[in-house]
Amino acid sequence: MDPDAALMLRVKRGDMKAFEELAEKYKQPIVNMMYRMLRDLDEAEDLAQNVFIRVYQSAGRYEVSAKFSTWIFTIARRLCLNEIRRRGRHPAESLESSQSEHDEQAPRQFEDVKTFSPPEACLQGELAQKIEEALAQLPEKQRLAIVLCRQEELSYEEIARVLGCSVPATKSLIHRGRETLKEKLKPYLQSGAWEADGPKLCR
Amino acid sequence: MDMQDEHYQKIKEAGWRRTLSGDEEAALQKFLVAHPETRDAWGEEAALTRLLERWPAPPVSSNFTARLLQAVQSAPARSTWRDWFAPAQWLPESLAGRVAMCSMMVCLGLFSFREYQVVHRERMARELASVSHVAALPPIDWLKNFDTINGISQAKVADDDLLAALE
Repeated sequence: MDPDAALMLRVKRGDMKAFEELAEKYKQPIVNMMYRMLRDLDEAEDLAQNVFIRVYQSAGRYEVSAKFSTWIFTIARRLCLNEIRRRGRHPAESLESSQSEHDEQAPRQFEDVKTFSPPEACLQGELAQKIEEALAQLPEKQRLAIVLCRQEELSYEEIARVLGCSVPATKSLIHRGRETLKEKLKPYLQSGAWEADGPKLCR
Repeated sequence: MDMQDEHYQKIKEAGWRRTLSGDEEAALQKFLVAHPETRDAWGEEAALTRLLERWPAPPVSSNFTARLLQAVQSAPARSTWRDWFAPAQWLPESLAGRVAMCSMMVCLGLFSFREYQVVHRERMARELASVSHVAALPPIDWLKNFDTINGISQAKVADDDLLAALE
C-alpha cells in the first residue's frame, strides 16, 4: 500500500502524529505549487494550511482509491483555482482578512525562523523574476501542468488525474507551456551565463 | 511519426521530469547524430529543464506545521449540508449493508406511495357517495323566474308602503 495512504488511514483513526508526518512531507510541494500559481508567499502558505485542514477534516471519509499524493494535489488544485477565481471577483480582498472573520480565538504565536537569501548574494535574481513572470503569463492549466511536472512523486498519469484530463492532453499542456517559456526565456537559455553562477538561482 | 521520433519524444518527456538514465542518454545521442537538425531544439529543451531545476522552491515558514496543528485542533468539525447529504455519512460501510439500506428505502418509498393512493381513493369514494344522496334538480322550466324570485329574497329593507297597503 502507498505509505502515505497508510499514514492517512492512521489519521482517520485519530492519530495526530501521522497527520504531522504527512504535513511535514507535503508542506513544501503544496506551498511550492500555491506560490507558483499565486505568486504571493503568505497567501500560498494560508492556502496550503487550508489544504491540510481539508485533508484532516476529510479523514473520516477517506478511502484508499488512489495515491495519497494525487488526492492532496487535487484538493490543492481546487482550492488554488477557487482562490484565483475569488481574486478575479474581489481583487483587493486578501485571503487572510476573509478568514479572520471566522476565527473566534486568537491563535497562539509561533516564531517563524524562515531564512531568506540576502539580496546581495542573489546574482541571478533578475532571471528568477523573469521565470516567474513568464510562468505567470501562461494559462492556468498550462502553469499548473508545468508546476506539477516538477513534482517527483507524481507520474504523468497522476498529473492527468489531478488536472482532470487525459495523459496525452496533460503532455500537450506541458509541451505548449514549455514552448512558451522557451520563447520568453530564449536569451537566457541561449547565453547559458546563469549556468556558471552556481547550483541554485536566488529569489 | 516513425519509431525513432516516437522514441525521441518519450526521452524528451522523461527529460521534462528527471535526469535521463545512461541508456536514455545514449539513445538520445544516437538520435541527435542521425538528426542533427534537432540538436538546437534539444539544447533549448535541456537548458529549460536545467533552469527550472535550479529555480529554488519558496521557503516555508518554520512554524508552518505548528500553526497547522493548532488550526486543526481549534477548527470546528466541518459539517455542511453537503456533508449531511453525503451518502458516506449515513450509509453503512459494507457494500451489502449499503445495498440493503437502499433496498429498504426503495421499499419504504413504494409502500408510502401505495398507502397514499389507497387513502386518496377512499376519500374520493366518500365524496362521491355524499354527492349521490343529493336530490335530483327540478326541471328546467321551474327555474325560468329564478332570478326574479332570487332578487326578491335578497331585498334588504322591507317595503313599508306595500305592507301598509296590504293591511
